[in-house]
Amino acid sequence: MDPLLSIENLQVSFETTDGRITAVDEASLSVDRGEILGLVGESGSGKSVTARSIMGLESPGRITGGTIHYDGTELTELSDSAQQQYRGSELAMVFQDPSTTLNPVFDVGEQIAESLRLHEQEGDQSLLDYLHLSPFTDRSTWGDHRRQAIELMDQVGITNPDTRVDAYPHELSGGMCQRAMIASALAADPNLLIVDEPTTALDTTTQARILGRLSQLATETDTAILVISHDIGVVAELCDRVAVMYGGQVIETGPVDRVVDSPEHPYTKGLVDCRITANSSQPLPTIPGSVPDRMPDTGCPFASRCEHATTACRESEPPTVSVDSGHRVSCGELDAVRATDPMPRNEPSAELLEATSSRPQPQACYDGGHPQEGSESAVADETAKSPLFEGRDLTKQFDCSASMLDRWLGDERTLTAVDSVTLSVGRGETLGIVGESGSGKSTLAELLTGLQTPTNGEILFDGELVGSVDTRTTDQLRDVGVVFQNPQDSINPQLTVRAAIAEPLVEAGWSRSDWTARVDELLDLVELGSQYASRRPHQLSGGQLQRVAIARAIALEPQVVVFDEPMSALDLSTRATLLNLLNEIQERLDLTYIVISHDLGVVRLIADRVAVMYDGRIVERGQADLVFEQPTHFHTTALVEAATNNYNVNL
Amino acid sequence: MTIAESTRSDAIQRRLRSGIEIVTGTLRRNPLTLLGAVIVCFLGVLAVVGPVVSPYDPAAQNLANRLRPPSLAHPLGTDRFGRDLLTRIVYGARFSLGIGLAVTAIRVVVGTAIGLMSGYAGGWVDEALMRLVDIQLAFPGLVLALVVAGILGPSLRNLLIALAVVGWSTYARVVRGSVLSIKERRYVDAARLIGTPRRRLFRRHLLPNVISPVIVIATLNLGTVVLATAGLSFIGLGAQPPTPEWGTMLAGGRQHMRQAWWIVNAPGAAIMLTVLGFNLLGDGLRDMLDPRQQTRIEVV
Repeated sequence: MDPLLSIENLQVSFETTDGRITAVDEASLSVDRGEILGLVGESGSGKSVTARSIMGLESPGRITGGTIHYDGTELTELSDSAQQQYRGSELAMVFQDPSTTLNPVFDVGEQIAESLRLHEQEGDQSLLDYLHLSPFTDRSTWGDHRRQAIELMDQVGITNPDTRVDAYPHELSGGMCQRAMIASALAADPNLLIVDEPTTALDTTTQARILGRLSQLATETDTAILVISHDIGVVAELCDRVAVMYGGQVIETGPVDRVVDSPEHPYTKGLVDCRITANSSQPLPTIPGSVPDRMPDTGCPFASRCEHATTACRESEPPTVSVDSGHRVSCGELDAVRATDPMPRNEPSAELLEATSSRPQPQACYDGGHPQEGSESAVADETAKSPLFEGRDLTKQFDCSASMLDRWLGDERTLTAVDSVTLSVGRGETLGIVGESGSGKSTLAELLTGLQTPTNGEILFDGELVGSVDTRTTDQLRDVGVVFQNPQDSINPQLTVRAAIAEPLVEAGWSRSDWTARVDELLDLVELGSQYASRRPHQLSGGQLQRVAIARAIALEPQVVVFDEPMSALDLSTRATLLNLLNEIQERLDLTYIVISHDLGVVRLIADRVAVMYDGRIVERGQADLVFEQPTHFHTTALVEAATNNYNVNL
Repeated sequence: MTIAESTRSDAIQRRLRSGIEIVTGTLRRNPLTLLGAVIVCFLGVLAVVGPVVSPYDPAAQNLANRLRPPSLAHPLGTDRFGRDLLTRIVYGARFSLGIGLAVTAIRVVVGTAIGLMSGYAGGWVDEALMRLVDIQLAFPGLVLALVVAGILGPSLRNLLIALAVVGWSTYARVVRGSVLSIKERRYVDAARLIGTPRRRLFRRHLLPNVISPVIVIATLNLGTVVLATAGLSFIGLGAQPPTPEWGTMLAGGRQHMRQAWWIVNAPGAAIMLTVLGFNLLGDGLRDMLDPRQQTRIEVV
């Protein structure tokens, strides 16, 4: 029997002022009913464009070749209005960022009901319905739709759907919005569901639940699901088959256990190896280089980053080899690749190796032994040598009163984001702060860096009381560097890379020749070539931008660097390279790190000690390995389970 | 150093090239922008060099030649005092463009400053400034200008003051809105964290990121100001005769409309052409400075 969806030699290209860019280049794949196919690759590999082309949303790109065959119909030949019939009712797509894809002015129940309405009344709409004059539309079925919406919300695992059906998107968490999106996609009972990065914006525990729900859906309703992700771990747990994309081509495809357990293509090997797992250790293996701006016209797209690449690889298209039943690889040097298993690592210098091997022993453990709950660690602090950076009894409350009138009437409502948190970090140490989104960890970072003024409590640097940004002295500001979560947001789009990095130096009064030299030095330190110095932020990838942000943070040689979710906006392979880089910089410059993340894998790898936050409080703290191996607080247990339990948490 | 210099000039060239690409791309999609640019440039050149090449004195009366229709000697004819209309229109361009630019410049500077302050400071400063804007927006702009010009007395200088006083609120609103979103961006936090003084923060991080809508509004606004200047002069609150101002010329020619159509049509056409030119250019600029447009080109 034919598969439900089959794509043959699909080509999608974009017209730009620099000429035509081929985003998808002869990609072929197929999905069967009830099957979950994972489409994996780094950002820029063409996976999202492929998915959008299936939905007929490829613009501003254009399909320039190949076929998309769906259940006996050729989708590329359909007119836009004919495609509209398929969209939603047969094919549905859930986009990456739930907070921007839901319309903020309608409640989620209405948005789910809308897709029910659109697909139910096909054909028998009255003229008045077309005019969208709300007083005249037939609302007799609206009650039914509301009931169905509640059912759907229940089906995707939204608790209390009866009340949440009336909630507006901003009243729901990211995970809930994502589920509401899935519910609305399922409303029309599609045969193929495309999910773009279903979990990237979510924290670990929520990820696990959503993935569990998706796989249940596939088995229960016989829906085909196409999952797009850069995280081969997600795909490994969820999918039946996997297709790996690079440079617009599908370079390896096969059953998930074959591809993930014994990958053949060097790129797939790299993707699999750079995952951060429970037994990863520093330095992490990485894929050398980064996705080039423009793929070569001929030859294997991966050749420029592949250590096995030969002249033949660069000059002619690689052959597609069938390794096993259903397992196909496009690589011309398979024998050479197999001979050098496992994937070589980035060779670290000898001194670095030595340094990393001694890392698990933190230089000091101020917070006493493990396990310990609550914040009664201040006593233990004083026994050790004085900590470098510490927060005492920090509390931050936000005013949530609805209006000025409420305030006058004395109806003051506050939200306690951080609740008497005491923590400290010693020189050369790395403190990890873990927690789900909404646990107050980012507010804590803003308190420590001085961007927010604490409602209560004090912050000490090297025993000296420091205030907020506006009251800190230049020296105090210089001592703390900060790297933020979203690199696109943290660098002024108008400045060149050189100007962005130079900013703290210029501010500190360095002369032009001095700072130019220092910027080159810093670019070198963060392993960014000097050719990037004159580029602007939009010409850089997320990983490269994050390097710029790191360079800026360490420009004035701070003593402490605070990282607020430094990796969560990045691809897995980029994450691994950056983690290695952070470690290397720490060793070289003798820095103290505070790393805030929802990703246990990252924290475990980089931190000596961890503090777990839940609901504004630190609920557990201690040495990184110990906390993760023997968690005592129920929340830590849940976090660890979600991260290590291979995403198969029962719901 | 030579390498650094060469990469620097390379970068400048690249930037220039991408700038030119955006401009030519917009012109290709929308040739009317080119028309607007040509009209504006033409008027600008006319205002600067016109008086030098014109053989007549704009104020010299020659009653023997009054109300002459367009001819070779007087391409646009003469008015009721026998003055050459083309010369007067060319001189008038100086007033119209000059006042337009001056008024718009004052509006932009005042409005942007107030918007920046209001958006960045927040709190009661914001409340106070925005209520001021609200009050100003509650009056129709031209009527308010009329009142101000009426109080100050009719002259070109007072007209300039009157128009500048009423128009800055749009800029304040737009800038405040952009600042509100941009000050939440992390790069502003990052700048504060390295101790950037406030003035530098405004100049380097806020202003360049809010300025494109201001440029667009200012261009569209130039046309309106030219129109308002002519309008107020027409009813006698602006330039006084014999100043060759287009609105005043219209007013002067009104009574001879029936015998000498060219007296009103020439300044009328000049006003229309100017406003049209600025509007077309403004629309084109909006396309060029639209961030979505830039991402489309830089999608690579």
